[in-house]
Amino acid sequence: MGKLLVFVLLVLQFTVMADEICEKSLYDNFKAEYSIYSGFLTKKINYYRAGSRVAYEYPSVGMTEVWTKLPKNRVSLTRVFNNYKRSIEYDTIDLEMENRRSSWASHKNFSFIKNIDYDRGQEEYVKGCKVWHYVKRAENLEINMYWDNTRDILISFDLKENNIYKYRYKLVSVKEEKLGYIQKTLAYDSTDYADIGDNESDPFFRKMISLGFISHKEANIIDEQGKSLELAHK
Amino acid sequence: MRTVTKVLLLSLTAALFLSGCGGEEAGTDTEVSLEETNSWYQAGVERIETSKLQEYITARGGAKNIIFFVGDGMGTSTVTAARILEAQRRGESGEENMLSFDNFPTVGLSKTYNTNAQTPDSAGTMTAMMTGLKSKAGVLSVSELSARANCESSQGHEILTALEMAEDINMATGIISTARITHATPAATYAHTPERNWENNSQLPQEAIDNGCQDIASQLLSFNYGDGIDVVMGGGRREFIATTTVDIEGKNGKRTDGRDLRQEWKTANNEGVYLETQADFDAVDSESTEKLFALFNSSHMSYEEDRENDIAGEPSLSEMTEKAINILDNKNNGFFLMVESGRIDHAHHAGNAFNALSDTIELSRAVAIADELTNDEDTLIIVTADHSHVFTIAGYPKRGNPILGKVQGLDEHGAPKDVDDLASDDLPYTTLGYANGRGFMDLGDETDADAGYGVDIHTGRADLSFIDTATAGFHQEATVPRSSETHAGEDVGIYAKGPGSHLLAGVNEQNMIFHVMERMANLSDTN
Repeated sequence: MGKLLVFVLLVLQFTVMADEICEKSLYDNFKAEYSIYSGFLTKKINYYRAGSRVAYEYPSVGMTEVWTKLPKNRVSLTRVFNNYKRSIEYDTIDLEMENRRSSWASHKNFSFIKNIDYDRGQEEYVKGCKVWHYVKRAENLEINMYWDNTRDILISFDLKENNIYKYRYKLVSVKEEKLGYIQKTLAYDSTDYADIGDNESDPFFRKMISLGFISHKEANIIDEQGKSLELAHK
Repeated sequence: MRTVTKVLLLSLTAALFLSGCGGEEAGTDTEVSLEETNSWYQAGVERIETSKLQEYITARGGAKNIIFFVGDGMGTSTVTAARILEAQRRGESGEENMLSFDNFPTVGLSKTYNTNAQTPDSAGTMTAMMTGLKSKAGVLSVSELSARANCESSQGHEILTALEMAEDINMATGIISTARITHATPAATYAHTPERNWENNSQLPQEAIDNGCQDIASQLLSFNYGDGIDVVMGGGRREFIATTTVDIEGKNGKRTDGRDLRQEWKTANNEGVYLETQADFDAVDSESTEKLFALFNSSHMSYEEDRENDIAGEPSLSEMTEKAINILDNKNNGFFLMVESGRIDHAHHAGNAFNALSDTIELSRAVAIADELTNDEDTLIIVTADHSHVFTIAGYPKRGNPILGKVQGLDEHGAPKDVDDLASDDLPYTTLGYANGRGFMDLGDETDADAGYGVDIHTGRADLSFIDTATAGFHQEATVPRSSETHAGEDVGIYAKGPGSHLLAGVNEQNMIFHVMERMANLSDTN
C-alpha cells in the first residue's frame, strides 16, 4: 500500500514536471539542468547539447566534459577545468576503454542510465507529450526512469535500495542555450593528453594529480544492471 | 685452470690484434678448443674482424647524404628492452637479438642536459643536435640568451639549423615525425621560437604578437631556405587549419586567424603533392614527386600498434622513411632527412612500456630500410635519442623471461624457475617499471597508451598475480606519483655508420652530433 502511494506521488510529481517541459519548443542548442541526489548529497549537473556536441557540467567541482561526435561513430572527449579556463583533449580511440566499444549514443545523454537492463518500459502520454516509463525491480532494488524520446533526454531517474532512495536524477529546467557554453569552454587553452608529460613545468598540470578525473567519480555511478558502482567496488 | 687459460688467451689475442698480426698462432694452443667452438667467443672475434675493416673517413664533405633518426625518449633501457621484445615476438629468447642500429659500427654516448636543466626536454635537446649549440629547455633553435616564452628576448638569437644549411647548399631535405610536425623535435629543424608550445597562432601571447613572432606552423610555410623543404610528413593538421574548419577526421582546427596553411602550401607548390590518408600515401609515385606535404592526423599520429584504429588510415614510420628517401634521392645533390619516432616518448610518459617498445621496434625497421636504400660509402646514418626516461629493467629474471612479464628468476643452482618471484611484500613484480608516473593500470587489449590518462593514478604496489602484464593495455607500476612519467637525465646512445660516423664514438656533448653532420655533409659550404 505504501509503495503504491509513493508510486502515485512520483507519477503525479513527474506529470507536473513533464507538463512544463513538454510545452517548451525543441531547441537546437539547449541547456538542461538536473538535480542529482546521491546518498546524502544533492548536486547539480548541467547538460548541454549543440549539434554534434554534448557537455556535462559539474559545477560542484568546476569541471565539464564535452563529447564530440566524429565520423565512423567515434567520439572524442575534452575535459574542461572551468576554474582554470584550461582543458585537456583526448583522442578518439582513448574512449574505447571507457565502454570498450565507444559510440556517440553511449555518451549522448546519461547513457549509463538509459542502458540499464530494465524489466519493462511503457509509453505514457502526459498532456500530449510522449514519454517512456521504464521500470526495474530486483531483490531490494527498484528503479523508475522517465525518458522523453522526442527530445531524447532524461526526465527523471529514481533508484531505491531497501526502499531507500540511493540516487535521484530530476530534470529541473530546459532552456535554449544562447551563450554558446560549449564553444566558450572549447576555446579555453587546451592541451593534448599526450603532451602533458612535456608540459609539467606548467603549474596547471602539476595539480593534475589532485584534480583527478571526473567520469569515474561523478557521473557513472551505476552499472548496466542498475547496480551501484560504489557498492560493487566494496 | 680454465680462468688462467682464458686470461692468457685473451692477452695473446689482444696483443696480436694490437700489433696488427692475424690470430692464427692462437689456434696452436691446445687449450683454446672450447673458446673456438663457443659461439659467444667467436661472435666477439668476428665483430673485431669486421670492425678492423672500417675505413675512417673524416674529410669534409665525405658524406653525400645524411639521415638522422631520433627516437624521442629512447634511452638505453628502452633499446635493450625493445631488442628483447622484438626477438621474443619471433619466439626467441631475446637477449641476443640486435636491433638494426645495434649493428652499426660506431656507438657513442650523448650528454643530454640543457643549459638550464639537468634533465632535459625535447626542445632544448633537438636544438643542440640541429644547431650545434646547447640551449634552454622549451626553446627551439634559439640560443640560451633567450628567455622561454619571451619573443623579444629571442630575436636576434636564432641559430641556423642543419636542415636550413642543407637547403642552402641545394641538398634535398625532408622531415618525418609520428608526432605533430609542429612538435618540439621536428619543429627545431625549421622553426625558431622561444616557446615550443606556440604551435599555432592562437597560442601566441600578446607580447609575441606585438613583437612579430610567428607560430611554428606558419614558420614551416614561410621556410625560405633553398627551394624549400622537399618532404614533410607527420601529424598536427589542426595547427594548420582554422577553428571553423573541420578536417577529414571530424576534428576542428586550432588557428584563430582563419588561415588554411594546407591550401597556402598547395598554392605555393603547384607541382607538389599534399595528402592526409594512407590511400593518398600509397598512390604517391615517388619517382615523379618533387615535393610532398602530408598531415596524417589532427594531432599526433597513432602508436604503431594502434595504427589500424586510425580513422582515415596512416602509414608507418618505416613506410614514410622509404617513401621519403625514394623522393629525396631523385635529386643529385644529396639529401638531409630527419626522421623522428615521436611516440616512444608519449608511451613512456603514459607509463606504458608495450607501446614505447613497439614504436622503438618500428624505428628499427625504418633504420633498416634507410640502410638498405643507401650506400655506406656516401651516406651517414645517425640514430640517437634526445633524452631518456625513468624506465628500468629490474629484478633477476631468467634468460628468455618475457620482457613484458613478471620476474621469474633462477634457483640456487642457476636453473630457471617457472614460478613468479615474490618481492618482500609477497607479491610478484614486473621486470619493467618506472621510477615515477601514473603507475599501475590494467587496460587489457587497449593499444593506445594515452588511454591511461583517463584512469586515476595508482602508484605503489598492486597484486599482479592474476594479471597478464604483457598485454598492450598494461601500464607498469611506478614509485613516485606524478601526472605523467618523466624524462631521465642519463646519457643516451648514438649509433652511427657511414662517413664520419666514428667521430661520434666516446662520450659526446649532444651538440657534437650537429658538428659531425655539418662537417661530413659540408653544410657550411658557401661556394
